[in-house]
Amino acid sequence: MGIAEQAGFSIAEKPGTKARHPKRMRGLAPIFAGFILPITLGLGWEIAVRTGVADGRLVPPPSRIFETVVELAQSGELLLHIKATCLRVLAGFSGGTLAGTLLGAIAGYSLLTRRLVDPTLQALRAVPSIAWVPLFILWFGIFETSKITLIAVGVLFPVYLGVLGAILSVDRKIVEVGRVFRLSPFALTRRVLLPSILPAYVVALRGGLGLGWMFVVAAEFMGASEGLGYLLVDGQQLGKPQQIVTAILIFAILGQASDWLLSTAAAPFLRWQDSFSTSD
Amino acid sequence: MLEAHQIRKTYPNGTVALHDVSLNVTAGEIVVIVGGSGCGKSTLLRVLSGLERPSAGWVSVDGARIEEPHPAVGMIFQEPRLMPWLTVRQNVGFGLSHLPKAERLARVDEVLARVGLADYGRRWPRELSGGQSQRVSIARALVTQPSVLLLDEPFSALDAFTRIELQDHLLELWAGSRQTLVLVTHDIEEAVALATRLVVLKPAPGRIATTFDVQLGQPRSRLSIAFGDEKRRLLAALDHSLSEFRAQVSG
Ligand SMILES: Nc1ncnc2c1ncn2[C@@H]1O[C@H](COP(=O)(O)OP(=O)(O)OP(=O)(O)O)[C@@H](O)[C@H]1O
Ligand SMILES: [Mg+2]
Repeated sequence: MGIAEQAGFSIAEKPGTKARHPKRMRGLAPIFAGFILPITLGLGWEIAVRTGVADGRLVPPPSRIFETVVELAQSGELLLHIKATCLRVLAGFSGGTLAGTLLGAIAGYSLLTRRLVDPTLQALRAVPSIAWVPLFILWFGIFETSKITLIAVGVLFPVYLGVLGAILSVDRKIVEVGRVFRLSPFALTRRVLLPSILPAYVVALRGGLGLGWMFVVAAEFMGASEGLGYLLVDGQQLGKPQQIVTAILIFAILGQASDWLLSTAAAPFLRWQDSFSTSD
Repeated sequence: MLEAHQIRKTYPNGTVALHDVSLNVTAGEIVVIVGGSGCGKSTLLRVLSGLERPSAGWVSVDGARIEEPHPAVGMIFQEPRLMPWLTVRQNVGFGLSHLPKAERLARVDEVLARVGLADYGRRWPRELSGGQSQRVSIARALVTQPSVLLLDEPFSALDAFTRIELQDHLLELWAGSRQTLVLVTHDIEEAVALATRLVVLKPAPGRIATTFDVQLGQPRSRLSIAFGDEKRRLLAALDHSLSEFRAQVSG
């Protein structure tokens, strides 16, 4: 009999209190708290304009913005612009993600490629992406191709860096476990490398998506006949601040929604993570 | 069973970690390798496992030379090294992916029960204590039923009670299966409690200082006089190899 048993320790264990991870409780109060400020400001401004304290010409009150949304929606214009912008982001994000992932994976796997490619990419990354605009217009014209390329370039770098960094920081010790179990290179990639880079990859994709939304505005400033960026330009030229604010609000909603979609799609694969939550 | 012949290992930075180390482990033995820090214990185990190629010499398992990890040789590392994205059950079954699911699950549950974690199969690694994680990693190595198990300071990160508990548990498992064990430790008590044969390494470069059989049957009482005698014998051997080293450094 070992000392441990003599001392009353036993090896068989029952799970302590709960075997399952308890669902994180999210009270509703903190969410409501976040609405207090914008609603108060909005109401305050509405009252100020209605009572004639302010004229609200340059800063439209919530009711005017709401009217604009309804008008644009009823004419079918709103949907048209949203669709155009979303398609651009989708195309640019897909292209940038694909290229960034491939480049990052190749550079991460092969030291030689990394030495060859990484310095150039790092140098290109230092160029503010908007600076490409004139060149892209010369190369691809002022229509869709140059817009989508610009968005893709914006997305490419964070994705590339995320993938490369994730591959380089894969825990060598865990890879060794795979080797002890004699996994083939393919199995090692699928069962060890991919799962361990996934969290960083999702973060990189979310960063890339955020930049995609940023660059779609720049791309649509380049001259577009539809899209939310066009609404912005049009609103400025025709002096319609309510249209500008409407477009801004829709950008905010779309950005949040697409980010939520991305992290929700990834969440089932990241359940094991301590820190992962869709809200951050 | 497991043989190392005149192993030398020189790392790319010039460190000579092992110099002509030969070791012949017969089936059913528990060989415990002891030695001061940096004298090449981990390196030796990694060479035995096939994770690291020796600069000279060779390792064979059942007469066949190995260049990379061998299915008959399992390895337990100093840290649990569990995959954080797999549940306990999936971690334990990691090396069994070639088996049909039903059989895999049956074997996993059986081995989890053996290490005392039958009810923990659905947990994530982050939800385990250090000792529980290490037990899962032991289960992961045991479940493929390797005939040789290499253990690199498997209990060193644990508190004294858990350590003793797991040592006893390892002996229990060994009594049932009579696997061949090669275990690295720098804990004298652990060495004497487990070993059928002790191998003392000396540093710079790592060589075998001495080897001797432990003259105690199992189970061993850590409080007995004979246990104390073996401990002193090992301490003397370690001391001797170290004083030799010091003389060599100062002389
Ligand atoms: N990857 C490496 N590259 C270069 N030198 C190394 C490497 N790994 C270990 N060494 C050196 O080889 C020698 C033996 O190291 P090893 O890890 O085998 O020691 P150890 O006996 O396991 O020590 P400890 O008890 O501290 O774990 C040490 O001098 C160490 O500095
Ligand atoms: Mg070591």
